[in-house]
Amino acid sequence: MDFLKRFFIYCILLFLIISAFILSIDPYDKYGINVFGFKHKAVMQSRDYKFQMLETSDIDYKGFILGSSAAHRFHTEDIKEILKVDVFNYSVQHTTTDDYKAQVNHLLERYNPKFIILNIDFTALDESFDTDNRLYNSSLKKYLFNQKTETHYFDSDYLSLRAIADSFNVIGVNLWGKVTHKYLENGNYINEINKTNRVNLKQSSYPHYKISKKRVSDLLGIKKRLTERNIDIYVLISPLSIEHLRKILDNPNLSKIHNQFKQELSSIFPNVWDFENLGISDYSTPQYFIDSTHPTRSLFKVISKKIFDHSSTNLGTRL
Amino acid sequence: MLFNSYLFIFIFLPVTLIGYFFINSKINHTIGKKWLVISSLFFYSYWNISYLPLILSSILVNFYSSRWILAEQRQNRKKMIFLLGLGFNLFLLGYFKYRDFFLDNINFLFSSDINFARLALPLGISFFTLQQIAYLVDAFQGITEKKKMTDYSLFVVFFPQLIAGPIVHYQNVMGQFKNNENKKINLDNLKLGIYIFVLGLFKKVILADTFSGWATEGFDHTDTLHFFQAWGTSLSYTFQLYFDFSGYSDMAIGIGYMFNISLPKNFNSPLQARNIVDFWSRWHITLTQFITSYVFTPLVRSFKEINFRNSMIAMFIAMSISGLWHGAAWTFILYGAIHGLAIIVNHSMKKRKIKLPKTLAWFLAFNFINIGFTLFRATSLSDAWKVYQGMLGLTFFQLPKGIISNSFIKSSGMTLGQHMTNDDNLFLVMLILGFIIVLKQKNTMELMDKFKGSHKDAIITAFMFIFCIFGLTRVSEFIYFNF
Repeated sequence: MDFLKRFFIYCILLFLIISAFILSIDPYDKYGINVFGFKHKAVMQSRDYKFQMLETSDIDYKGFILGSSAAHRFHTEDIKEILKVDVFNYSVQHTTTDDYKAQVNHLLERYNPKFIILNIDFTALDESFDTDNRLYNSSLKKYLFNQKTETHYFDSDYLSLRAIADSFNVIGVNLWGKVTHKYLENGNYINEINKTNRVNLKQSSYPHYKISKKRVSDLLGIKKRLTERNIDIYVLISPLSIEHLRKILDNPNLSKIHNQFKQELSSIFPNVWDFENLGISDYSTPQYFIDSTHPTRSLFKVISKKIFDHSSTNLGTRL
Repeated sequence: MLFNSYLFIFIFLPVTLIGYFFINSKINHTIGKKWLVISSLFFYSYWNISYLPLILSSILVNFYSSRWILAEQRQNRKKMIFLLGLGFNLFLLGYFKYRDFFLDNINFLFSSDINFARLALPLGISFFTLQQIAYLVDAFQGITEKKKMTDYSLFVVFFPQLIAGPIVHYQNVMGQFKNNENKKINLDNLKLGIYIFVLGLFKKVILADTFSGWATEGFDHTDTLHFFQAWGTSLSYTFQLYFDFSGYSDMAIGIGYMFNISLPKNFNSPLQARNIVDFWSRWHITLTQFITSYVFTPLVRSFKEINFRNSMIAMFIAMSISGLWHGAAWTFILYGAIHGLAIIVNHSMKKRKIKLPKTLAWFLAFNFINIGFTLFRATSLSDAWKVYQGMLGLTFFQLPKGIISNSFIKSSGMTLGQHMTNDDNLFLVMLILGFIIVLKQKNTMELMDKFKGSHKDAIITAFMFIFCIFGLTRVSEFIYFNF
């Protein structure tokens, strides 16, 4: 057989085999597929896991933390120490306002919280940043009520080299390994620390950023629901390391959008704390950041004290 | 448009290729060439359409200047037109590439505050301007003839080499378009083209982009680099740059073959070089040839006497200009200048018949190249110096985890942590792999000679291609697009 025919046949075969392999493992649990019945995935389906924790818990939580993976290390004990109430960290990966809506609807069904902390990322209002498929595969989906949802079948996280590597990791961890990334009591995350001597930049370009009107309106809806129940809302603009923040501010267009993003939040919520400003420069070290978008527990400790204990630090301002 | 994108691989390339041969066979070759010109302009302006008028005006001015030169009989007027044409090209480069650098330095020197808009560098301007300067010189020297507009435009914009070379001469490429055999699809060339393209894609997507992560991490944190990190950073960049640029050249050559056009080779295992003269005969070969023919030789001839000293002065100036061609910054000029000095040292050693043992010669050359590339990558001289300080151990050492007991470390006051990055093991594997590939493996040109289109070749090519396709989710630009 000719080289060209062989080349095309092998390409198609390999593509199908590798794609089938990734999908059968579904390392990030995006499609809810689990052919081999693995207990642990590369990224835990936190929307289900934390949902179940709340469903089965006897604790009467009075505070909730909502947010993305950036809020994972926001430790509930640090808030409890100041406010003396039980708090649950309901942050899940890769969030948009759809997640917050479903979570608020869910927790209001079972609990009577006094306050909610919403740690919101700059990306959360970006129209080109899709809602995670995992929301639609989770138990939270029904709390979107009758909202029309759109599953993205071609997720850019899939059919990638990273997904191949993570699929092998999933096999390794389930057969022989130790699970290192897991959720603890009250939705807390393991106390992960940055072992290098620097804060590495995560993706810091937002080429198609456009503020989504739908998401702004979602936030208004959330505020309305919480206000009706007399629940306090603390909105925190999630901290970014100084290098990451400068990448945004150095881009004139992005800097304008960044400003608009803050204005939108402060026009909706009465209590908005901005940690995405130059005050972060003293804290942009490995002690306070796992990487440029993921703060450590130490930074959240400082943040908690600033908001609830009125400590004097140059970190963060109230808008 | 990027070679390493789904749009290019699955739509633009097949459509352009099929369209070209279809038009050649069903209509005629002139329309086929026009199809290639239009496709290439689409390829160019897909990135940013505002650059299109620039490249079109550059083509028009150079085309008519060269025709005028060729038609003119009077030597003085010929020279004047040539100088005007040359001036136009240098003005384009100067305005779009060096204006900000020039004003920055004026502001610095005279403490002035001249405002200037930071201009985006038009894609490929250094390459298409250089190529057209060479054509003007050829026209002035009478070694080319009048050409048709379509042919001239195709010579400038032929998309495989438009953005980042290889830098070609008119006759090299357009002579091949004339050949009747090349107007029909040639399956042997198509196979070879796919093979070379995939090799280049693999170098870019799997190797260069992997090293790029570590290089970027390091150069973003020059303040905190310890000894091993500084070396890891500089080596990562050296490998990134080599795999990125030679990968691009391979892809360009591969695409050329698909169109039955053989583009000149641009790399020949440069990191195996045993001295800097040898390095420049293996690295960016077409640029070296351009600098030799159009900068070094005229400079040498401009001296009253041609001797070793004057040749070396000309070499130093030519290499500094080559550095400046790469980018408008002092780091690039210095990069060119230190390479110029190294070449002078090499020639002087040769003159005095000083020969180093092969391994030592390679070791010295490789480290010099690596140190030079650090300067090439750094955003400022002070950033480069910070990396050098780390490499010299003037910052601090951090030992790899597990190398020694924790209590000893604590008592001695040393730090212990991740050694290089969060992916220490992967980094070491890739570094070793990088050395094996650049020092022990056959280069693309050698692999091309060995290519038979066998069953084994098909499997290997398909494997590499599919892995690259999975790697394209992290599409990144080529480094030489910035020059």
